[in-house]
Amino acid sequence: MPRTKNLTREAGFRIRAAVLEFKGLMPTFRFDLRALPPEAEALRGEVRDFLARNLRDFPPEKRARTWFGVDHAFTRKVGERGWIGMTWPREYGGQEKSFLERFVVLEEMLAAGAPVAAHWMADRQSGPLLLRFGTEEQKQTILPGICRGETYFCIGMSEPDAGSDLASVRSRAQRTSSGWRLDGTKLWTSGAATAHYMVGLFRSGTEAERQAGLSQFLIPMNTPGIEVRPIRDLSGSEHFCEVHFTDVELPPEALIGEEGEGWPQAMAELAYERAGSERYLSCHPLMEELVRELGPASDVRATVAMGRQIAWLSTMRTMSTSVASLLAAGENPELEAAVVKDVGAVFEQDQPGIAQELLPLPPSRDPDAKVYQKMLAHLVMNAPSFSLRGGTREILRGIIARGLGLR
Amino acid sequence: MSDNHPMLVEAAERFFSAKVTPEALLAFERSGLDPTLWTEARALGLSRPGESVDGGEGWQASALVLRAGGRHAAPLPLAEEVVAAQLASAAGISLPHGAVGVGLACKPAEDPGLWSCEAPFGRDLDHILLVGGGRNGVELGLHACAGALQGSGENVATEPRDSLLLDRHSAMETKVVDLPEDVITTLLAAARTSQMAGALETILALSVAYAREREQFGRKIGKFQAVQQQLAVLAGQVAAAGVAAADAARALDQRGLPAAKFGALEDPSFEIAVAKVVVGEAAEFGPRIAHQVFGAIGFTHEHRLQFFTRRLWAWRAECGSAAFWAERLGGFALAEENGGLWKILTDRSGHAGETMGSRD
Repeated sequence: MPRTKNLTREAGFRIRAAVLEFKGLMPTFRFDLRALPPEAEALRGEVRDFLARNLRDFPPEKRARTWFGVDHAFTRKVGERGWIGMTWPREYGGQEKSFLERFVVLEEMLAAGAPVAAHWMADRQSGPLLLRFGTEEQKQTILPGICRGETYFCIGMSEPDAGSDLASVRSRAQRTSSGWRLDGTKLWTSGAATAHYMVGLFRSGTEAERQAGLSQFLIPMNTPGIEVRPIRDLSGSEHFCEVHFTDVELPPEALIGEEGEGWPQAMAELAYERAGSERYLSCHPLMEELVRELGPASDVRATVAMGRQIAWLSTMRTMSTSVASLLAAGENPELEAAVVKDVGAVFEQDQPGIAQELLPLPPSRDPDAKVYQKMLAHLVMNAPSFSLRGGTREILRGIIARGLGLR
Repeated sequence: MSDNHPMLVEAAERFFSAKVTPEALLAFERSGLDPTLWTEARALGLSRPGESVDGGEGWQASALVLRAGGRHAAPLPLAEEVVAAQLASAAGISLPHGAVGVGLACKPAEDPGLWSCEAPFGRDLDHILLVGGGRNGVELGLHACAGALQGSGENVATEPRDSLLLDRHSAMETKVVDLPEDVITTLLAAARTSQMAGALETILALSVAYAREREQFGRKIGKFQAVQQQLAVLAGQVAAAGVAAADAARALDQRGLPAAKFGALEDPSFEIAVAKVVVGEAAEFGPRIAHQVFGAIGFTHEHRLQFFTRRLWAWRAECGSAAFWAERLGGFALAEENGGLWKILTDRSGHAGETMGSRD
């Protein structure tokens, strides 16, 4: 035993020396508390009135689809109301509203389970990308259509051999005398079957260059040589697609931003993609339905479980508001956004299981089943995707680990 | 928020860094509170941060100091004096010189002339603020503690958790207040979440530093993905705990002292409950990960990790566990008249930006 003790002592001293240095090594998460400004809060009532009017005939169980629900007529109404591209300059169809006003509009839509998928990608990512890197002509011809809810986008990133390892993208973009020629296959592209444009990540350089050989392209989906094949997911829906490119000819201005800058350009948008309320509200309509089904006479077990739910929902929302404020201030909180998405995905992925623990109603797609059961059926089958889409759990935790100085 | 009180936080950090050494923590476990350390901390104003900031941010300033204290496992009754001072000030009770703490679970003793209460660091206090059910409603009373020590105990972090017997007619000052009977428990719960958020920050920092230093299989253990992913989970828990604890302090500044009706817009108990739930869960999973990363060495008494993890285990159970507060939140969430989860949260955040008058 004395020998063990000595070893422990020795190791202890080494650790203590290391401990003294930990200060300065630690990144500080910037999660300062911010309140939503009054003009943003003022919008909340307007959005609720709008949703009450326009979702009156929307089948309640479809609310469980949240931001994967497609409804073209609804999207056009949101556009008419000025809530797509609402932060963009007026000259391109926007309303020049603040980022936090947009935050309120979006969280209200998601909490209500409104079918926002058609315009979601363009509003969140592609529009802002074009505002930053697009030509004047692209901005004038494309952005107003997005704002009206008439022009949809999809994001072409993953490929058959490039999933989480996105830097191994193989689809090629070659310079030609008249511009660019694209060849290859994009996979798991959400909404490609209905989108008018794709923002696609292609290899304009060599494979050895990895990230540095990638460029982003603006691709009209009706260009000859593009073939879209929807893929049925395990729940039977078809929202993601395989997109084949065969000798697709594009003009020079299809290149977005700089050649070889596709990777940093795409990464710059990720904080917008990862910290939004869609990362913790995917099951929210189900949870509201669960509250109604459980009712006030619930036992202690259900009461405690719902208390934990509202505690984490409140905290996720405070974190997301904080990141939104950083984005509004022009910062790039990549690390904080990864934290919100990772913690949020665990939170929302747990919810269908928690619901089943509390209520003895099985998931069901039977037309006569309760709304709660239909929602549950959809979410039980879709929950695995929560920690895959928008950066897998492992990729996000890798980003956080890098932020901690471990990589 | 730390932007608001940088001097205060820096003073606290400097003081704790210099004074709360592993030797000081071991000495505390052997022989209790170091009166010199306590006197110095009090002289710096660390037990009454509310007095050194502009009105309206007393709780948030206090939370920052308590979080710094938690980062260093400061072996002091800081949270208790912070709560006593903030509550006394709101109720218009002036505190005498000397260390003041709070009494919990106050009830009449066998001798009806006496109060019995639980008192963290009771043996080290000069005065104590407690809530008693007076004839006229909820009554705050300030008592001298000399000769009142009835029982001595400690929590799993070796912090004194004593009981006192006080003569109910010998209060130095009393005030009838329009506050719930468990107001002190609720306020101390809020203070505990700040301490816990700080302790969680430190176990993350220690674990990351160790993962960057310790070699096994020919490389730093922090280079293994399995370890990286665990530390990323810990980081998420630490971030959530920090946000929840800060939000509880903000609610106290913006909404006022706890109200009789849980969950009313002017009641900060809702945000305090949220914080105790989230921080309490982080105190379950956080230490597990930290200890896993450290292996056997972190399980020794000699290593400083245990000063933080033992405090987290003690504090998560005090002033209401996560389950206790979750039951209150859940009852509120399930009540039909409250309109469901989303309405509850948006009503509260919409109301938080407005300035609310103090109700004292």
